[in-house]
Amino acid sequence: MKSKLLLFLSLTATVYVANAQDPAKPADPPLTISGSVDTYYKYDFSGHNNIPTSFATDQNSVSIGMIDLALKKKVGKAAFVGELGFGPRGQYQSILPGDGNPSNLNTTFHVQNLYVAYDVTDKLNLTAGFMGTFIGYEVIAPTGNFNYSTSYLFSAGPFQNAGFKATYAFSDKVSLMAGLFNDNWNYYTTVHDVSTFGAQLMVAPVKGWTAYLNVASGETSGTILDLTTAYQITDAFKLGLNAADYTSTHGDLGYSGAALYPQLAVSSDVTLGLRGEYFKVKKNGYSLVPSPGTSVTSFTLTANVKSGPLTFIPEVRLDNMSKDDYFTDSKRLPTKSASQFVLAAVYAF
Amino acid sequence: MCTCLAKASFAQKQQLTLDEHDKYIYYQAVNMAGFNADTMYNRCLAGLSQYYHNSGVRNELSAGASIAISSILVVYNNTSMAKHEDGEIAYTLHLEFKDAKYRYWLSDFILQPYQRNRYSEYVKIPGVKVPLEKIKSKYDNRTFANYQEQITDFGKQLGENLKLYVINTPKKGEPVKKIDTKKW
Repeated sequence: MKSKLLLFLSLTATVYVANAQDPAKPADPPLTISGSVDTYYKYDFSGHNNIPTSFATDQNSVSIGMIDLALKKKVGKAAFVGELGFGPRGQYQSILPGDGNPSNLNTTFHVQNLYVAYDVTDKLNLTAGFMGTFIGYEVIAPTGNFNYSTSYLFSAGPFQNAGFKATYAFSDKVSLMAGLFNDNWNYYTTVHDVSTFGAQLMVAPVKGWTAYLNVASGETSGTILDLTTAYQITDAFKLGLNAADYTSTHGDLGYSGAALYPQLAVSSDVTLGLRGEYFKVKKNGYSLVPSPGTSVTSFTLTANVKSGPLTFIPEVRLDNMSKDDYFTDSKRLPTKSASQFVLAAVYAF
Repeated sequence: MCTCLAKASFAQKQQLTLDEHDKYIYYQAVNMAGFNADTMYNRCLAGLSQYYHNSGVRNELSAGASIAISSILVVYNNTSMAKHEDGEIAYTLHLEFKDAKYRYWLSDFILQPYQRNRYSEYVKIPGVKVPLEKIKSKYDNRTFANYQEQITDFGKQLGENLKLYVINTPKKGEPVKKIDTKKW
């Protein structure tokens, strides 16, 4: 027993000395785990649901968004990201269940992001898989948005794109992405082929200002042009802008719109923000509300109150449509306007 | 005994100190009897050049009578297993040499916080830079303590590397030892 102990100590000492002789090399980043949990209460002042926001859908109810879990690992030049969403926000409210096959309607893969990436050089990166879309200002994960309810532009546009893309960084201020994506947005698999072309030009003209010019175009998916930009003008004031135009390849279906996002930090823990949006459906319509040729103007006043990893999000929203064919008042009579209150809590980890 | 070990471990944790300009600094002076200044300079320069080349992070190295390197340290939101990148802290590493001793220090710490993007990657928030001295007022004491711990851990590891750069004779040209399995 004594000799075994001495042998163990001797081996331990040898290993320690061997390590001590070599300077430590830079370590690969660890496996990182991040995500969020969100819950909310919504009350539409008509007493029933009106405003067609993607999430925060349940009237007069304490409801859940999702638990979002993301894993990331990078070794050398190769990396993967896997992000899963469990809950209404990460499943039937945002992505199609399963692979889009009707026989798999009750199956869901929960996947928000699932891709691999490789740095060919310091400037060139290749990525393939199912990724959050490069189009638009708002995202599915509640930690990526300032407002809790979502814009019409977000609901109408793509949520995810599966495909292959290459991104080249000319400098810290300019980069270009180009790729080929599945023919339909949001699907894990293609309906016909990998035929949607996508590109993104990023420019950062001055400190704190980044702008993304985006295009996605394909025979099946149609063509969307998008500008997404944000400018941190002072330490306290940030201004964001999103503008988009979508045209389907099947007739003059589509929409166009713009949203402005001014935000003011009034203290280290409290930020106030307004989202003002104009959204119009083209004359031949689109699959989502409002009706063909109708426009909607929306104002959302939101506060983000932070307490460590927890953010409370009280929000008041007023929408006004050009026609009275969608909203109804407390007596269920047609009206042009609707308003709602939301109180959400988002815990990020 | 466990309590004693825990206390000893706690007591060994280093903290950043303030310099004459009220800026945080990680400072160490090291005695190395038997080594002249030129030897230590050349060995540290070679070792650091290789370290920063392999690290893949951006850095700028200037060498003359002393060595100065500007680079970044990626910091995490905590030190437990479930963690993610929280930001990067820009710093400058200075080294100066005299016969039988050298000193090094890390200073000019500026945090550029990260935010999670749509691809679940953590990337810099454009236009936001916070000097380490303002972390407590902009965030909280816990965040400062977390970053301070990661900076001091890095400074300590850097110090151990520097000692080994100085002690180890360069191995260039040494034949690789091979075992001949036909002879035994």
